[in-house]
Amino acid sequence: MRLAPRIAFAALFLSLARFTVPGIATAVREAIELRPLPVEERRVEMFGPFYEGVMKAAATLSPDEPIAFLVGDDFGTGLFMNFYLFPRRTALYADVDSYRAGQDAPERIILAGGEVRFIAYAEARAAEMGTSHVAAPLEPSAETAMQFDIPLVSSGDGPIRDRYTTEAVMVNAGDQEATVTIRMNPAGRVATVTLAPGEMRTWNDLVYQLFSTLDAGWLRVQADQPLRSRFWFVNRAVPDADVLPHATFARSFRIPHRAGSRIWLLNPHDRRLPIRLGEGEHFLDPRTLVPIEWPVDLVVTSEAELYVYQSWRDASGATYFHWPEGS
Amino acid sequence: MTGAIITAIAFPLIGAAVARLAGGGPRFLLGVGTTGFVLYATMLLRLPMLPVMIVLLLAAIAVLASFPRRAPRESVQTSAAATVVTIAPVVFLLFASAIIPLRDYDGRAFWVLKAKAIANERMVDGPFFRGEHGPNPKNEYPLLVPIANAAVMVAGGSSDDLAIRWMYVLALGSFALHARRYVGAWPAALIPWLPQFAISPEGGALSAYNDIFLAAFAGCAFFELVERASPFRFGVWLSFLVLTKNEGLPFAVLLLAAAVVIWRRRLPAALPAFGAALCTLLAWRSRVEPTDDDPLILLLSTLPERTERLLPAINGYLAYAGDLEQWGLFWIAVALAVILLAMRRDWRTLAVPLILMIGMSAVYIAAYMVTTWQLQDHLAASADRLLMHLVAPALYLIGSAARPRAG
Repeated sequence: MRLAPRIAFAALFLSLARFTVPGIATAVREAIELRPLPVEERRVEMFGPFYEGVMKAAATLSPDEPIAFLVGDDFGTGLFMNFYLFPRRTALYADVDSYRAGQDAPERIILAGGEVRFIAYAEARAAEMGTSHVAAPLEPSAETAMQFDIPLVSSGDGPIRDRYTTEAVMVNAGDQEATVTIRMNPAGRVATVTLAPGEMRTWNDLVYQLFSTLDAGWLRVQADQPLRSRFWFVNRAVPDADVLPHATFARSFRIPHRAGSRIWLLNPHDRRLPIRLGEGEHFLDPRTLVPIEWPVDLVVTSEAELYVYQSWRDASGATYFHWPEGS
Repeated sequence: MTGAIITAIAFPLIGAAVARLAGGGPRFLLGVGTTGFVLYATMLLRLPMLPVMIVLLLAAIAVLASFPRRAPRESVQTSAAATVVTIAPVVFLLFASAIIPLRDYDGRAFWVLKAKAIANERMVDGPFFRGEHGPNPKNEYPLLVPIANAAVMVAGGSSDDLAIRWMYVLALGSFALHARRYVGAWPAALIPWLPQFAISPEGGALSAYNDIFLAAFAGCAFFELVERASPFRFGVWLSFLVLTKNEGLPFAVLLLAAAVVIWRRRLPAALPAFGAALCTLLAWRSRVEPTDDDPLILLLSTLPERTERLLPAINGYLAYAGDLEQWGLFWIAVALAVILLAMRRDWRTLAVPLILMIGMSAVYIAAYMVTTWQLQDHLAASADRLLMHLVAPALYLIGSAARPRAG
């Protein structure tokens, strides 16, 4: 080479070496540091606790058991775990709705981004909902009560995207600490809540938060202090929140026919309750809540008090209720 | 380490046999390309992978034992210093890649995942590629390199990503050493020093992106063409190009168009290998469904409506070429070489490299114009890697400009 090209080449070479030399030096240094470690420990060192947690969790399963990853926006992490766990089958879902919609979705779920462990679907659902509420404003009623019944509560999923919860607010209106006993029927689960005087507590998925399960039914609430409260039936997918009144029991209810509606029959007693639906004789099991469809106007009568109401939904998924006064 | 040793021995052995038959060529790159191509085609024909690998290896040994070594072509003008400068970064990169597990995005999310699937299923259109196994992103990406990776995994009995790490570094070294014959020892020595080739986490030798292979195969085809060497070998390189990445097909077509002008009646020798690769690609594509990539061929019809993205795409593309951290003064040197050669009126030297560089850049800019990505995101994710593909013609210009003017 002549002199001018040599100088030009040297300048060009230095412009490359300025970045390449430190880059290669970093890689070599890292290699020297990692070299004493077994390969898996090198990856733990490089990719941190999530990698380690997933590999340990996966090792507890049989090799052919698939794993679902709920990854949110972070599909990269999911794809990498798919890479490391291969040939174990994995499935990546952005959210709980995608998981629900997935065909053959694996039963085992790992939530990306958090502590690495298998979680139940209900827990994943709760984690995704976080603490956000649909009902607004989240204020209790002005009236107080020490015992009341909420005719419908739910924590569960409807058709894809429909996600039902019960939101609630409770305030201890007394001047003593309140012990509130909440019984979920017909399952019979019982939870106790303690509220300091004036304390307000809220729930965005009451049934799951109190009973750690996805279920539907009705609630009996008993407190040793007066409570101000309000409950909402929520479909988070719409989003839609309907205030749930206290059940007002009576022996006879008249329900007008509405196409596509459901009629709910609530037996608050600990015994079977004979009832008359139109012209027919039937029984309601103890503490049960039974939905039925009825093709014409319906009169429900019984020897003892019960509660009857009606619900329907529109195309958007919003739910509507008719809370009749009985007689 | 077993995988690394297999990589360092088996591919050069197969490549040496092909080079013996074809009259030369970089052994490692020929070995990887031949292994990938042969297994691609035979797996499509439902031939079992492992026996084909064994036959390929035995055939390579038989060829080397049966066919006499030909007299070398004109010797490479080199120097010990240039050789040391070329090899030094490769040695350090081999050390690092033998120890550090894979950590790049595309390598783990797409390319080596495909290799694992092929090694596991011994098929290129099996359950994984039919979407029956789990996530199979970028399902339509050609599989030559993942198949070669899978061969290493099968031979070594491990699908750990460390098994295939040397392939990318050795491809870089093989490309640089091969380029010496055509661009000169010192210009070729620049290749493993280019930060984008050596250390970039996206596309560099420590990643498992396939752009080094694409750049190398395109470069080898370009060298055959520009030196009017062997149409047959040119066709072989085109076949590897087509099966390596989606960008390989337009690149091969462009090279073929240039070859029509340069070789005329000699061109048919290039066509069997290219045609076979094209048939392999089309046959495979007919059996697998695309997943999540832009349908660029369909989107090209929207080009007239996307003219507002033309200048931003060109500016962005050029801005990445000027990124000192990835390219140093390389592309500036290329521009100066073009000016110098133009001042010398050396149109014969300028023509083919410029046509290829401008032609492929036009293809890439058209893709940037019609893509559904945000332009800046797409540029950031790909421009540096696309520029890698043009390195051989660019170096050829630098090498030509550095040589004393003929006559």
